[in-house]
Order: sequence, then C-alpha cells, then structure tokens
Amino acid sequence: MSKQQTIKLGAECTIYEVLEKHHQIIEQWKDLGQSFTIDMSSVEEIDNSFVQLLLSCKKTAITNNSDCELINIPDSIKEYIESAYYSDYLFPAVEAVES
Amino acid sequence: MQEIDENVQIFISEAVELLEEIENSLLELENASDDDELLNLVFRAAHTIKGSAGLFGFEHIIEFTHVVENTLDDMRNCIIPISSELITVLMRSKDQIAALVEALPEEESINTEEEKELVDLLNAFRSGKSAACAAESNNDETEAEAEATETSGENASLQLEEVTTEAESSDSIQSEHYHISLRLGVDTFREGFIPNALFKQLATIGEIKSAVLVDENMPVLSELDPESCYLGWEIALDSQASKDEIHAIFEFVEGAQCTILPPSSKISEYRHLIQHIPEDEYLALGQILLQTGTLTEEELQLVLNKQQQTQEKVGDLLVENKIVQSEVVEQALEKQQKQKVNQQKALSFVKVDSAKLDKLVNLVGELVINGAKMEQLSDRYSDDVLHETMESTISTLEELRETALALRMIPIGATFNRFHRVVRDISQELEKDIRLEIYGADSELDKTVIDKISDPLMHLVRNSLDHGIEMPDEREQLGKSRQGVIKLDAHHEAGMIVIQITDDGAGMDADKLVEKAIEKGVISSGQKLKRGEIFNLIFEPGFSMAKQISNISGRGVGMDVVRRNIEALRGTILITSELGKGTTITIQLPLTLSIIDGFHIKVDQEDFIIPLDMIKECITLNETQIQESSMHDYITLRGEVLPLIELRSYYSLSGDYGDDSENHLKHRENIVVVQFGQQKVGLVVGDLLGEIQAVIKPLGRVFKGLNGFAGFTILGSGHIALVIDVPGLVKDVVTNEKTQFDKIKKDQIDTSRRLLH
Repeated sequence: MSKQQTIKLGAECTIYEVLEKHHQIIEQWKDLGQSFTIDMSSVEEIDNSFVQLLLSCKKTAITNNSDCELINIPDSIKEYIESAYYSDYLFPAVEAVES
Repeated sequence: MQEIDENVQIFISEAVELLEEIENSLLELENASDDDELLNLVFRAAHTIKGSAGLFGFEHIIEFTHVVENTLDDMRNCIIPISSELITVLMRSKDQIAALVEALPEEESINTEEEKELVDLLNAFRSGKSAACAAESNNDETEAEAEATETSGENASLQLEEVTTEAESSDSIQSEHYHISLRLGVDTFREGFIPNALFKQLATIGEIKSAVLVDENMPVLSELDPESCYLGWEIALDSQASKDEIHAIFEFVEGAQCTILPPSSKISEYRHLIQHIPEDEYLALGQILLQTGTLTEEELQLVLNKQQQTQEKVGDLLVENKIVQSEVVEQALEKQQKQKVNQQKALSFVKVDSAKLDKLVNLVGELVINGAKMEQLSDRYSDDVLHETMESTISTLEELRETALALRMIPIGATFNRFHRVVRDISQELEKDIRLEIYGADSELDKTVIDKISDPLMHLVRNSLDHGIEMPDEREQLGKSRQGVIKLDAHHEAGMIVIQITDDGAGMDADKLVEKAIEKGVISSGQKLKRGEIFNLIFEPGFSMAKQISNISGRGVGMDVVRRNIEALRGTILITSELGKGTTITIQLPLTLSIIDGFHIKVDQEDFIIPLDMIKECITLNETQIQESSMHDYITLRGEVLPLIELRSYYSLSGDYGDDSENHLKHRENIVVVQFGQQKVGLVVGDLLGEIQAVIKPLGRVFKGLNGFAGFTILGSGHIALVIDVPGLVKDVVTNEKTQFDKIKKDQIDTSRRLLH
C-alpha cells in the first residue's frame, strides 16, 4: 500500500501564500494516480485564488483518475466556498470525508 | 409685423409639417388603435416640436406640448386607452399648438380658454389612467388581469403585453430566468477582486436559482499559474431587474466577460422598446440593441471581436452566443430596415424655399425667351456649326424648362389628406356616418395650383357632407348602407389634372333646380337647358338649394366663387348628378401656370398666344363658310353652330381693310376653334404662326380690369404677345347669346302684342 499523500494548510490561505502552497502541493503529490488529502483544519482565512488552487487539485485528480479530498473544513471556510457556488465542485470531496 | 428670424422660420415650417403628420396619424389611429407605430409617430412629432421649441425658448409651446406629450406617452404605455373622445381632444390640442406656432415669433396667449380646457381634459384622461387600464385588462380577459390590477403604471402595462406575446410565441420560450455567463479576467485575483461579492450583489436584485462553476479553462496543477484567474460561472437569476441593472453589477470587474441572456418573458419588452426607437436616424444593429438595453457594451464588443475573426453577421453571432434571443434580433433588423428607408428618403429630399423655386422658374423662362431670340438671330447666318449648336441649346433649354417646372410639382395627396379631419369632424357634428376615400394622391401638379385649389375643394367637400350625404336612417330606408362615401380622385388626363369629388348621397333634382333658378331669376321660365347646364346653375351667384342655412354650407355664397377661382386657374368645373344616387363634381386644371404651350397667331400686326390645351382645331373657311361668316357671327361646322369672335373687332385693333372686302375676307379665312367647358367658339384670326412655348407674365396693375387677356409673353423676336383669356372670351359669347336670345324674345312678344292690338 502506498503512502498517504497529505498536506496540511496553514491559517492564512490567500493569494500571498498561494504560489508557495502550489509548489508544496506539487511536491507532496508526486503520484498523481493516488489520492491526495488536504487538511484544512487550521485554515482561518481563505480567498478565491486559494479556492482555485483547490479546484485545480480536484481537476488534476479527476484527470488522473484519482481523488483529492478536503478534510476538516471549518464552517466559516465552508460558508465562504458555498457563497461563490464552488460547492458542487468541491463538496462531494468534503462529504466523502465527513461520511 | 415683426420680421421672423430665419431659424424661427425653419422651426415654424417644420412644426407645420409635423402637426400635419400628427393630424393624419391621429385620424388613422382612431381606426387602428393597436398600431403602435402610428402612436409612436404622433409622440415623436409632438416630442420634436417641444424639443425644437426649447431651442428658441418658446415656453408657452413647450408647456402645452409637454401636457400633450405626457398624454401620448401614457397612451403608448397602454395606461390610457385610445378612444374617439381622446382623439378629438388630441386633435383640438394639435390645433392649439398650430395656433401657438402661427402666432410666432410673438409668444402670445392664443385661445387661452381653449388651452385651459384642453389641459384639464388631457389631465383628466391621465388621472383616470389606473381605472382605464384596469378596465382594459378586464376586457382582455387574459391571465395578466390579476397582475395588472395589483401592479400599477408601466409595469402593469408591460406585463399585459408580455403575457400576450408569450402566448403568441410559446415556441420561442427558452428560459424563465436571466442566464448570465461570467468569465473572470486573468488578473482578477491580482487586482484583489472577490467574486463572492458578485453573488452577494446579485442576491440583492433577485434569486440565484443556480450557479454552475465552469472549469473548462481551469488547468491541472502542473500548468496552473495560481495567481491568475481561470474561473467562470453559468448563473440562472430570477429577477425583475433590467439587463442594464444586472450588468451594472459586473461593470467594475476588470477583464471579465459577461453575457446576459434575458428570460423569454423579456422578449416582448425588448421588442416593444425596439419599436419605440425613432426611425429618423440609421443605427447599426448593435446600437439599436444597446439603446434598448437588450445588449451591453461589453457584449457588443465581445461580438464585434468575434466578428472580426469569423466575418459572421453580428445578429447571427448574438444569437449563436446566446446573448440576444433571435426574436429580438429580428425585430431590431426590421427596425433597422425602416430606418434605412427613412434615411434614404431624407437624403433624397432637400427643402427649398418656394420663392427660390419661383425665381428659378422665372429665370428659366427668361432663358427660354432668349433662346428663342438667339434661334431667330442664328437663322440670319448660314453657318452649319452655329445652327447645330443652336439646335442643341434649344433642346437643352427645353429639358431645363421641363425640369424647372417639375421642381414645383408636388403630389396633391397632402391637400387631400386634410379632408380626413374635415370629414370626421363635420360628420360627427351632423351626426352622419361618412367615409372619405382618396385615390390618385400621388398625382402631381404645380404648387401654385395646389395652393389655390385647396379652398374651392374644401367648399365642395363640405357641400357634399352637408347636402349630399343623407342621414344614416334615411340612407337605410333607401336601401343604402348607413355609411355614406365621399371619394376624392385625382388623375392626369391630356396634360391636365382632373380632380373628382364624388358622393353616393341624394344627388340633385334637375326639375327643382330649374324651378329654383326661375324663381331666383337666374333663368327665364321658357329657357331650355341641357342636363349638364341645369346642374351648373348651382354655380350662379346667390343660388342655393339648401332648405336650411347651416354653418357648414348653404348660404349660396361660395359656389360661384368656387367656379371663379377654378376658372382663374384656367380650369373648368362640371357637375353630373343622379337623383338618389349621388353627385360627381369634375374639376379640370392645367398642371402649371407659369409656362404654357401656346399657339402663336397674328391679327393685323399684333401677336397673340392662345393656350394650346384649349384649342380643338384650326380650320380654313370654305367659300360657303366665308359667306356665312360675313353675314352672321357664326358658321355651321359639321352640322353644329359655331359662334365666332373676330379678334380684330373684339380687341378694337386699328387694322383697316378699307373697302377692300376681298382683303377683309382673306383675313377672315383662318379660324381657331377653342373650347372651354362644353362651349366651343371660333376665333377669327389672321396668320397662324405655329406652336410656341410661352412664359406667361402677369399684366401690370395698369391693365387691371382689362378683359380678354390672361397675361403676356415676350417672343423670340423681342415683340410682346398677349395671351388670350379663352374662358373670358367664351363667357362673353355665352352672355351675348343670352342677351341676343332675350332681345329676340322681347321682339317676338312686342310683335305679338302689336298684332293683338
């Protein structure tokens, strides 16, 4: 069984951090055929650039027939994601984690 | 009178035209209340008058026209239903504006009582608008009924129409919501824009039914530039807001592309708005859609960019890209076509002061005279090149003359159209039901003739309305339709224009006419008249058959003036009538007054011109006729008695033949037969010199009251030729005949008396 690929995001998830996190995720998610988990438990602030990064992760997973899961999403962050109607794209992953 | 500034003069002339347009459109609107275009036409005309008056600060016109315009706007928005009463008030308002315009440049208070009453009436129509609209929606019995009464003003009217149109085009329903396609710009994040704010704002003007993220441009992680934006949404919004209001939310998102496809229910609203765009200026399809809020500037730019790449038509691209519904594009294209036609019309006409045209025609006339002079002079030289050049010059001059005259020719339609109002108002006043039919409105004739024929026509039409057409009940009893018909017809016939006024009314009773004529002393009791002559008795001064004098006609003054005016135009007027069936009045007029085709004759050493259109034939007398003419003032021509007028004696010319009767007879052998009306007369003339184009000039005031001349012209030789007034001569003959008849009759009576004693 391969090693679980995971990354834990920090409190600030905005455009100022997005470049760095993008590199980190690419580094962490080496085997794109395997699922990837993003732990969002520490996230306090997020913006659309960061949400877009998550969306790209999701698309990458779909393209590679794998999965990208977002876990431990704080309610405030969930609300933010919902308010821009990203949920359809991102929440199946969230629900999977919650279930 | 204060001199009118040139610009004010232009305003007045345009206002008069617009007011005429208002009147004609209102009349049409009365019978076609669902014709939005007509209503728009009236509204735009009133709006233009108000706007132009604003340029000159004519406050009085602005204020009153504003009230009219508001009423028209309410009618456009279906807030006030169109009714005959409202049309009448609007007609009176049009008259009031006309009076105000006529009084310019003085901003006088004209008909202040009438104006006050009109303002009150118009406001009464406006204040009762809710009830009126509700009533209208009740009549419609549509689903919109409830909505119309719940909502007020424009919204109510809009919904009414939307429901109707939806029902009409149910196939075209695409969506009940706005469909917004949003693609954010690549730098959206860098610029610190937060897309969530857009959704928040959209939620304030409607309900977001769905928003689907579009990931088609989203790259996978390895290709992602995380600071760039690849986001987009397809949003369904349920909102009552306009497209512009929705677009305003996206306006400040730099680099974003946003297209908004309105719900299908909006189609009728856009079509309605497109219909209301003025047609006097040509607009591109995109501009039309922009003006009506169907399209946003960004959407247009997007489509124009695509067009550069694909070379497809803008309309097709708008539909393909789901920016505008095909129905709306079609409506805009239709409007564009109308604008194009109007623009072409506008481009092909230039307004010219008629005085300038008169001057031009006069100058051309002088040129024609000089051309004739030059032609005569050139005959002195045997130079082929000179003759050739002269021939070509004369031919060009002839063409120039025709063209110059054509400039003054205008269709009679505008004059005819004025009678719609007359027929409407008078038939209402008389409680009759009368329809006016117009034929040959395109027939053209000289503006001077049109100006002068207007009043006689008005009198004749009023006569038909008052005395011709019977009351509806009476018509019904006679087996006629309750509605009477008056027809105005104009057509060209042998270089003349023939105008006929026909009614299907009671017709004239020839026996009663004769009775009346004898009673009034117009004819003597034993006088035998032909049927045509009997009807023409009504043109005798003081002759009226009306039992009651009305304020419309029937005072017996006018018909003689009508005939005099028409004859002054070198025209004729004839009446035919059938009792119980109706009457037809036929007016025959020359197309122009200034230049005529004439026939050049000489009597003694004097030159004369006879208008060619009045000449029936020229004859050379045979021996019997010479003998006959030397004994009487007539000859027998093909079995008919032809009265003769010897122009030499008529005009008291000094020519003296002495006792040389042979010489006298030689000079009597040419006769020009002229006809005016039904009467033929032979003019005994000297030499027949042939056809000539004559520029008629009026005789000076010194010659006022001189009978027998219609004017004069200058011949190519420089000599002056008098133009013979054929109608005047013919009338003289008829009068002389009557005098002679009376004298003969008196002699007969005297002889009888002598024999009896």
